[in-house]
Amino acid sequence: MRALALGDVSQRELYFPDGTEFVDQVPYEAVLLASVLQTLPRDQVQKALQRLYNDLPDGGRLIVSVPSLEAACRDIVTKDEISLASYIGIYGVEGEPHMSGFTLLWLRRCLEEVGFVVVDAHTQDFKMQFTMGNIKVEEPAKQHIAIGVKRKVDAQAQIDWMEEE
Amino acid sequence: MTYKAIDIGCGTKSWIKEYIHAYIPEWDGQVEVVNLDGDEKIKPDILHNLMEPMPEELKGQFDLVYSAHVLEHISWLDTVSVAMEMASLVKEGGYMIIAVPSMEWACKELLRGNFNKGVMMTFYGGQEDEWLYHKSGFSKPSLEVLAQRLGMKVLSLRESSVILTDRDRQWNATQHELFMRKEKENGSL
Repeated sequence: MRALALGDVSQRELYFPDGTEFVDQVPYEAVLLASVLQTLPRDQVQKALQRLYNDLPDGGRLIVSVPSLEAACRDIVTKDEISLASYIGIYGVEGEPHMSGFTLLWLRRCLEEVGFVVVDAHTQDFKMQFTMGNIKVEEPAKQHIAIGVKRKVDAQAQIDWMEEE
Repeated sequence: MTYKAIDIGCGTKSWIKEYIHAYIPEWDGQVEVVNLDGDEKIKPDILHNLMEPMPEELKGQFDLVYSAHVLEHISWLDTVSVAMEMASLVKEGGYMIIAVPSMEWACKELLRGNFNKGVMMTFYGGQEDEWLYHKSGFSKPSLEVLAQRLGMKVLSLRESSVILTDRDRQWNATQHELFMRKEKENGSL
């Protein structure tokens, strides 16, 4: 399989079998956006997803992971001090600021709006790794994962089927 | 008596007089306001990039330092250092007012399921131009901590309504207003 994998390289092995060829141009059958979408300005998110949808073949797969905005919000409203993980989850780090944020529902909707059929959308724990000055830090955090599949819908076939019924 | 005030990041529309009327009404009509901004197009009295230290000649010169909807545009990693530079302009016994969007409100709205454009704009700004991105957010506790780091006494910290304007409509949101005083060295106000 040929796959385009952008962002956090450590997430590649979670989603792709051994032997996957990682490429940086079309054609590819799968795309991984690992902690990428939140770094785009709001009005670029749908445009980027639409481009990927158009480039994927029928049956092609898009896997997206983004920091959980709900988890950061829960932390902020329940704790006296805003944790590093919450600030980073919402606003990113130096050189990689976040310009968009996603709830699980919103992420799902973003994929569906460009045409993907969302086959999985869930939230999971992950270890957020970043550097503060020269220090490498690891904080427990939560991220959303959504998997969309490109399925061309043949409108005429649907109508034929309905008429047969 | 004339009081000296500075509006940091004044932009094209300043609300400093309304804030003075609300917080220090006894100063009404007696305040000389200096505008400071990093954008030369708006022709401020003082052109200054907030990521640089404040000019020495301005330090300790103002009875009031006011900055509304500015700190959220500074990276959260630089909030304290930039706010400290702002606070260095306040005279002993002088006041400081900071107004910022309430990230705490946005979080509560989001958790209630209201992830609308007003909430998104509170988190990440209007994004119409390069400056209109938010790089930090604030809650009441985080502002109390900030005041502590600035060595200022919190006189009030309240929430108020604010209207965010998008291209096609307006959104109700909430902001924090932090009113502080720089104590004199002997600890008195």
